[in-house]
Amino acid sequence: MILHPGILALLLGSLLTLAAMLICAWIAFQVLRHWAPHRADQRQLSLERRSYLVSTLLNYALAFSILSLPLFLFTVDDLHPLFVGAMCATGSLNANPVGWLVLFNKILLVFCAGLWVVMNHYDLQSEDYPLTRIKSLALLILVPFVAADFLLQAVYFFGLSPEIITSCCGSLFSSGSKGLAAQVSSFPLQPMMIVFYTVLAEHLLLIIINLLSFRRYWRTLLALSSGLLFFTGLAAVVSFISLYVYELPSHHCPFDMLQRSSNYIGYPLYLGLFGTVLCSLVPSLLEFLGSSHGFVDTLARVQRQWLFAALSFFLMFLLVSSWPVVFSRLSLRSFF
Amino acid sequence: MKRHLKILEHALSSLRRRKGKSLAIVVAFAFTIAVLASVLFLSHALRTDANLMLTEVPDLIVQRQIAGRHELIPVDYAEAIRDLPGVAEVRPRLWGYYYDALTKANYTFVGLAKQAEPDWPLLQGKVPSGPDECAVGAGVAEVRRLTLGDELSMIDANNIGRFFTVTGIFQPSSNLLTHDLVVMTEEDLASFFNFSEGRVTDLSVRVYNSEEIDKIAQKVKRLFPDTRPITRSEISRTYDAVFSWRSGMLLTVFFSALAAFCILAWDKATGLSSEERREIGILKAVGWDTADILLLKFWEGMALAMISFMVGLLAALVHVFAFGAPLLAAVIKGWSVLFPPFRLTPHIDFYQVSILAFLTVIPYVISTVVPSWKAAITDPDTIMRS
Amino acid sequence: MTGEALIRIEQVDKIYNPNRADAFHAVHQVSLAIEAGSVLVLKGPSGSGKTSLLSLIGAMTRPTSGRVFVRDREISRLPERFLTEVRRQTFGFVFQQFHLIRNLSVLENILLPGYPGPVGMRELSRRGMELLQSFDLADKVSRNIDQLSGGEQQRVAIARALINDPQILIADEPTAHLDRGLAIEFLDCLQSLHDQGRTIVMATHDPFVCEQPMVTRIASMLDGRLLGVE
Repeated sequence: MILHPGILALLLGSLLTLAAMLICAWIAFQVLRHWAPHRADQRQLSLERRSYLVSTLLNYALAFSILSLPLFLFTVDDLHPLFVGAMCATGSLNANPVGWLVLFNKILLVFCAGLWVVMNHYDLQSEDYPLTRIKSLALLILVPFVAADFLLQAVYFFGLSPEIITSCCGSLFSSGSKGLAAQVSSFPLQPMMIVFYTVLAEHLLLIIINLLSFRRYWRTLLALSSGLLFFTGLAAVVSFISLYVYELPSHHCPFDMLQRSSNYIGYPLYLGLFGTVLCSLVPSLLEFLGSSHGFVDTLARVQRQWLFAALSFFLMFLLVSSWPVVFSRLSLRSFF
Repeated sequence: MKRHLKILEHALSSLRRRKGKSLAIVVAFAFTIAVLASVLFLSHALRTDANLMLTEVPDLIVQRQIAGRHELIPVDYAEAIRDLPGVAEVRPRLWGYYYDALTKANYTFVGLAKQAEPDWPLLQGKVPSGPDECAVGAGVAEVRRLTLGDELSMIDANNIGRFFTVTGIFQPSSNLLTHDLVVMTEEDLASFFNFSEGRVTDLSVRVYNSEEIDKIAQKVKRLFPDTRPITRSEISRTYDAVFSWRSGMLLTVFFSALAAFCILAWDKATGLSSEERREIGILKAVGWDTADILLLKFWEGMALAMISFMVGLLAALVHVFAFGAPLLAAVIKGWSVLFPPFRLTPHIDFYQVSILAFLTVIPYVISTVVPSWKAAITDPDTIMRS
Repeated sequence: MTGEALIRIEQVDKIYNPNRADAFHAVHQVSLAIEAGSVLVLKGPSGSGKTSLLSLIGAMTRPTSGRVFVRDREISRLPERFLTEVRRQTFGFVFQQFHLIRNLSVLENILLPGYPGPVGMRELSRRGMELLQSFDLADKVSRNIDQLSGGEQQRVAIARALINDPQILIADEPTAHLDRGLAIEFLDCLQSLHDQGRTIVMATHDPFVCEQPMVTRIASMLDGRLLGVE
């Protein structure tokens, strides 16, 4: 195994996160069995007190899960000089294909962790703990993903060896290769741009409609649109946004833009995308929880706050993704 | 936000009132962080400096191997390699290692072609131009107590004592490259080591397009299967791997220090003094709830962690970049009698600092959660009943 | 002065350490109503359950059975977080031994109950200074508690109880450790707070307190039971 400090930090952090999750899962199990807020007996008091422990541990654990995504990307990028053929993070991930699973699991965890933290926050604001049971159930569902995060990382890092010859983003994201990445890279540019901006316009429209209307139907549509925006956004980054960022018609790598050479433009770009998707999912979640668990009172005001946050992140993503397209010295007219 | 700020203020006041305990934790934690940070900074600085130096290394070095061992390479190979498309220049190199029994040190011998001028600045004197002349690095001069004009005596491959007049001594600023160097003419070197006619140590190859190095290396290997072409990136990878491995190994060892500190932190957090228990009881009684106490403990922990982190980081910077990390250098740099003293260039980036934070602050904060929670769930009416 | 019931407790029991060998039944089936603007004294010997009943009235603890209402809102089943908020907004406590935090200044001690609340530091400090002035402690604002006399500490304890401007003041054995002079000072202070319209609930076994003209009702307790209210 490669004893790299970043690897040690990631493994230690995810192990501690898993340990915290397991402690919380045990308490969540007790809650699901014995929770009875209408009874003020000793057992209920003890469960309420332990729910404070769950909140604190989970907030730390899930904060780490979210932060470990950029740390993971930085680490695999820092490792790439060790592998023949690797020129960036893509090469390191290709050196042991489990790395891609780690990445996908981490992305999934970012969204699940974010939604759980939101659910927990609103549960604690209400007098009768309306969401404690469903929160505990959600926690139990999260445990396998957190365990997978640790195990997959261990398998990935232990399976890395400097003798491996790997391929870099140039071959992964080139039109001549096979695979999803290659297919996305080779989408015709003009149709891809049209699709991207159409999805952006549609999502913006839905955010505005949701600010004006409180119908559940619009919230659900917004949630579905978030999913569409997420995948379309990533496809657009690989397909054409990366080309304008690097000013190179063959450079499709989605990770290099997180580096200094690209002025770290990847950070506001992905922050905008992840932020708008997460904030767009929250109103739908609150709507579902509120109507089925009866804490409707503050919902309207709270949902508006999340919609405004979604709008802010959306504008950030729109600006950062479109700026290079508009102002880059590269012209891709001949590809249209 | 207002609540956070007010509770933060009380947290800082709490720490001030318990100076002894706070100081003990800061000292222990800062020391742990300084050790871990020193390992990270040293290996990172060495990696970066090594990579900077490697820009001067040839694109490709062609060695000959027989039964997996290094062998002298025929100089004729150079002609054939020169004819490969993409190759700009091929230079035969004569060099070797010499073990000096007197000082138990290894010197690196390098042969100078007649027309070549070394481009390293000399402290004094000139490059050797004739037989029985040499220029030496500052380390050799020091260990053999040489000055300009002195004679350096060594035993050659025929077990005959040879004497070389020192015509030049290299500058200390070039120490990383010249510290253990002995430079002489190619003829002298070949006769000293008893090289066969037409044989050299290896071939240095320069290519026109650095993207093509791997392809050319493959062609060389196909042309001469008994050769081993080594690219610059392979050397760089080896250094990266070695430094990473060494720093990772040290970190693993020092994890025991970190673990010990976390146990200390847990113990300190669990073992609240009666005064602290009383204080929490009073806070609960006057209107603080469990979440407020947890927040107080969180800010206390964060304040201690941040102070320790800054102090530890600063101590590591001074230890590594001002003093050269004497405690760790031997492990990370490797062993050598003639190790060149050189100043490390400060290289720190946000990634390193965040790794350090992940390795230190997070375990500390986690180790204090459960003890803090146990303290925070004190019954509010405890103080009434006491 | 008197009005509708501000606090109502209905057949409350309090058992400490239930289901354990050292279980202690502190309060037995007590029902009581406290009107706004009144001064109620809980009288009884040591161990009669006065302090436990004060805890229940002051939302410091939940009853094992029975119900507690504050302004017609039942608080007996509220989660701790909300119970604490009710307690902070409604009640101010003066403890038997004051329980001020050593090595903390006078002002910091007074401001403590306000920290978790929504009021900003500046406004909180302004209120604290006002209270210090009204209690003649303005010149002692940065002194450590340890440097104050008994009477001054008592006034700091009262000021701390008032920082959140609570409607109800609860005092547990307030004169137990005071000489007659300080006891009179304390009771004068309570009188002026009562004149401002606050409701006061006190637990004591000191007959001098029971004889005060401001006392509107006296509830006698023995062995955790309410014997009568006069």
